[in-house]
Amino acid sequence: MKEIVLHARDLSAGYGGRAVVRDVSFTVRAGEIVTLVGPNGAGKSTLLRAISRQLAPLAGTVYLGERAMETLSPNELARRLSILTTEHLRTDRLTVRDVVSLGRYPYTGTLGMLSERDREVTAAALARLHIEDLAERDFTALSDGQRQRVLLARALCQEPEVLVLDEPTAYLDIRYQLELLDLLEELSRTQRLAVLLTLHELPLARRVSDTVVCVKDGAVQRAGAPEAVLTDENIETLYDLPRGAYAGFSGRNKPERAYAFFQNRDCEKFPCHGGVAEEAFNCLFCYCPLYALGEACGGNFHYTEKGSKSCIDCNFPHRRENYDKVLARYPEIAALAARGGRVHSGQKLLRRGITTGTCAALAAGAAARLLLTGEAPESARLITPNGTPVTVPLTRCERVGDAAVAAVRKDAGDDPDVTDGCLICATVRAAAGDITVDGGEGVGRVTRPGLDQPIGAAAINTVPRRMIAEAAEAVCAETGYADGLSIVISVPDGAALAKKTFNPMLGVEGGISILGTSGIVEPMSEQAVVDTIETELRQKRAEGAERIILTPGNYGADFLLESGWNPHNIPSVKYSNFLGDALDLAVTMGYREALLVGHIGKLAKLAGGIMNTHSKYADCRTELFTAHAALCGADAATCRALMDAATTDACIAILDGAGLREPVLASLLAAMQRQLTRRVGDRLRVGAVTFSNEYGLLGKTETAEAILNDWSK
Amino acid sequence: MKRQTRCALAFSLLTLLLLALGALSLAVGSVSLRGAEDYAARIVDLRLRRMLSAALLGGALAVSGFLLQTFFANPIAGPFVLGVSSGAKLTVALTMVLLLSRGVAVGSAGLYAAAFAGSLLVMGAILLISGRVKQMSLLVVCGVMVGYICSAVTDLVVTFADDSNIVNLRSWSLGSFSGISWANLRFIVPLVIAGLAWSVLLSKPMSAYQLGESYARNMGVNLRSFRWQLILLSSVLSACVTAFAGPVSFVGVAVPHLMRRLLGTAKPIVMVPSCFLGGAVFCLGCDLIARTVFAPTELAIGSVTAIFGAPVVVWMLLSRKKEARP
Repeated sequence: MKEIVLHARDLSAGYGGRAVVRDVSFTVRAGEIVTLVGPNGAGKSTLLRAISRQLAPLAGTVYLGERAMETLSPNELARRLSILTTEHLRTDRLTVRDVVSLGRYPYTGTLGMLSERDREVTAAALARLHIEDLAERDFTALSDGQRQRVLLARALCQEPEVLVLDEPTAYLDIRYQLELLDLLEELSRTQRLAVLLTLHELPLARRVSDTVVCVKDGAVQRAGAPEAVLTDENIETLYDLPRGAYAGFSGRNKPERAYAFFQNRDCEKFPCHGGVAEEAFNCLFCYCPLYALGEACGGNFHYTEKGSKSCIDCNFPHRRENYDKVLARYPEIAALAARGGRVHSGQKLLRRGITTGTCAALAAGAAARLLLTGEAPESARLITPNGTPVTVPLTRCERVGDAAVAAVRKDAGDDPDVTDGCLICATVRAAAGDITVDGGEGVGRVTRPGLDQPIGAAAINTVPRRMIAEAAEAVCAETGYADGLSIVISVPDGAALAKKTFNPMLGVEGGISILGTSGIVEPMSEQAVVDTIETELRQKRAEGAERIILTPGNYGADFLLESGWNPHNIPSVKYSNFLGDALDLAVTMGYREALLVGHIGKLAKLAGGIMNTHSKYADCRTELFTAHAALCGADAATCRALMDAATTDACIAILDGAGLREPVLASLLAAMQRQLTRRVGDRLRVGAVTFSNEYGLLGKTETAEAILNDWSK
Repeated sequence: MKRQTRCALAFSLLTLLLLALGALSLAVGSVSLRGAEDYAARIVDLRLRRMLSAALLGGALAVSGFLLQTFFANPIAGPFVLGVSSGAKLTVALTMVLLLSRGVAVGSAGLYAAAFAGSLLVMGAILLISGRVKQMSLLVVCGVMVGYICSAVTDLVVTFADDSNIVNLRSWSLGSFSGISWANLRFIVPLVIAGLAWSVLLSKPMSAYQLGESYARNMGVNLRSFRWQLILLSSVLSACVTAFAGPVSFVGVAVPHLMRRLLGTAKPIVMVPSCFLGGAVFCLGCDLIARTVFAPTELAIGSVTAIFGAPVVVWMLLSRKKEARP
């Protein structure tokens, strides 16, 4: 049970000895919102004034925590209870920050000077209510809605346990009313603040309150949960309305909020969102697990007039009686979480995928099950190292001689990856001794030192190896099989795919690596950008172009135009940072020639084989300059200066100083050409031209020279 | 940060002005210092007294005005506007006439006690009225009326006073910083400085009070004691002026307004000292004008402060209407 912060007992209050409210008792708990409703003149404000010690009670006691309020000093009270009244502030030349910082009053010294902490608390309160922008504005220049926020921020500065608000929504339009109440809700929940307020708007009271207290003729008429208290009948009694007068007005059903999924107080999982990392978060009760059932879900699922799916405002999975239905969906949801679980990246929803390692383990588990039980499972399931349960269908699961073979198709999610969609197979045989994991066809072999695995071993990293072994072990344990197993992982398309990876350069030959430490591919693709590049390339190709200019940005196109090297107006496409994608696309679309024109700052990365030039993936520009300079005989001092250079222009200046610009650029350009050729092979003739804004043209690769020659004809 | 710089600049400006006007007050006058070597010392003594009085009393008046404005949450409130000065004038006149006619000389303390009693009397009346009228403009009108009643009674007293007293009373009731003796100053200096210090100490609750009664109470201000202090303090300060220099108009309203404009804030912690400095500068300037412009004829200090202060008040009323209607 939440602790009781405020407790009014048999409270009577009034003016001039005449009681306006009599014998009122109620409690407010930490993190709870209690709303007083009732007709005008019922005594709500008088009650609030007595509770905030603005008015001495005629009888009864108000307890703040353990202590009776009258035993608290004014200062102690100010640190525990703050107010927001309907009183209009007549400030003169006070900024918002001034007003808010006055909330620090009980904490400041004799002269009211603000300490560092006071300033911090003030700033935090401003930030909390999103009014930092208003901080230096004059209070009188604000709108009513803004003023209420400022006053709320001021109240928070007192760092109270209880917040007492008298008609905080008065003078506000509905937008500000909702905004203010949302803030109160958030504060009560996150700061464990006990909130007591009066409201005239019953739908708002219903929406925001944990408890509603009906006050009429100076006494509590009824109190309880809003649904129970604010029935049409009770409201009619409370406000002396004729029978049925309110019914038509309120509507029969409790209005649900658009975001009811996330803030459903009835749900016992509530507040499910508190402190959860968004990307790792997958509340069963929030991402509706029944959605996939379509119209059969039992909730509000329907097709809109435009034909799109909608179940807005549906509360079905949160209701206790429906939990079983939700839990029945759990296995599918686990798969959903692993394979289709949605993750936000910027504005776009991206799908998560699974790593090759997970696929291999899933296949190995399934094959082992077939081998040891004789039954072919339809799907495979495991828990990934990061704790996500994954269930996938099996593409293949059969006995081949003395072995069992299972295959899983990799779904990389919305992550650009050459292995997306390829089959990962596991062949399991009974063997003596331990469980061994090896690579077969399409899985690379380590040929150079320094990798996760020793030379000669299959390129299956430690984590996936363990996952594979564990998946098989689990089946062994289940079936009571005590002998060893030989597991061979193969990837039928592996050898071809590997050519598109770094594997040959890394020293992994003959196939792809089986990787993955978390087991789950977190999508980070900027698919939208690539889609744009693809569309542009396709358009130009459809218009008959066989030659294309690829530039990272506007500079490239401008440079080409100014240089007069584009007399035939060959079209150009901006590839942003997705050089690799652009090249691949150009190849698949059947372009014949492509000329890459870019600032040295972007193209220097190409010399290192970096095909996505976004700095979040790799930089290495100065490293590449340094390496090539060293190859060209630069001394240690020059190399050090190059490493420390902030920009590529600075690198060139250093090279000029050492008299090495030409050989180093030639070396870099040669490396760029190698990388380009490696990427596209002989299917596309591609060269690169690089320049800098400061130095103009810096150089062309061999192929670029030839291409430009042809183009100028 | 920007506002701190602004405040620092404003304070430097005020201090500089105060020093300059102070020096000027000592150097300039209807009697030339040159060729009057025998008198030089005495004249400087005279001017020093006058300069000190103008500065201290001007400052006291402005601070008193600011306190009243805070109390009534009304920028037009001031000791003169609310009739407090007139009340003090009435009691001082009564005391002088009654005692002088009996051949009793009135000392600093006596004069001050009379002025203080008059201030409190009118203050009480105003508070009674303010309990009934919630509208601030109406309160000011009532204050002005009370002031008129007091002035009328003062005139009656003066009319029926002995001839010998009239000369004294006339010059006093017009207001001047000229008649203040060192004995008076010995009384004024500690009083004003104590009042100023007390006001500075009150600036924290004042800042809370600026948000309104319930907020002030909620923040832990003892309203009853705070209100009493405010009233007492403003009466202490304004009575001091009325007792020794007669009624000086509009300083209490105009200076705080000018200071708010200058500082760009109404925070009491900066307003109290700046009002004091501003009031001192304002009164020194006005006094300088009063005694030099038509020298050797001296103008009533109240007239000069009215000429400069009243337009400021009018300007303030007009600009307020434009800014924000509550």
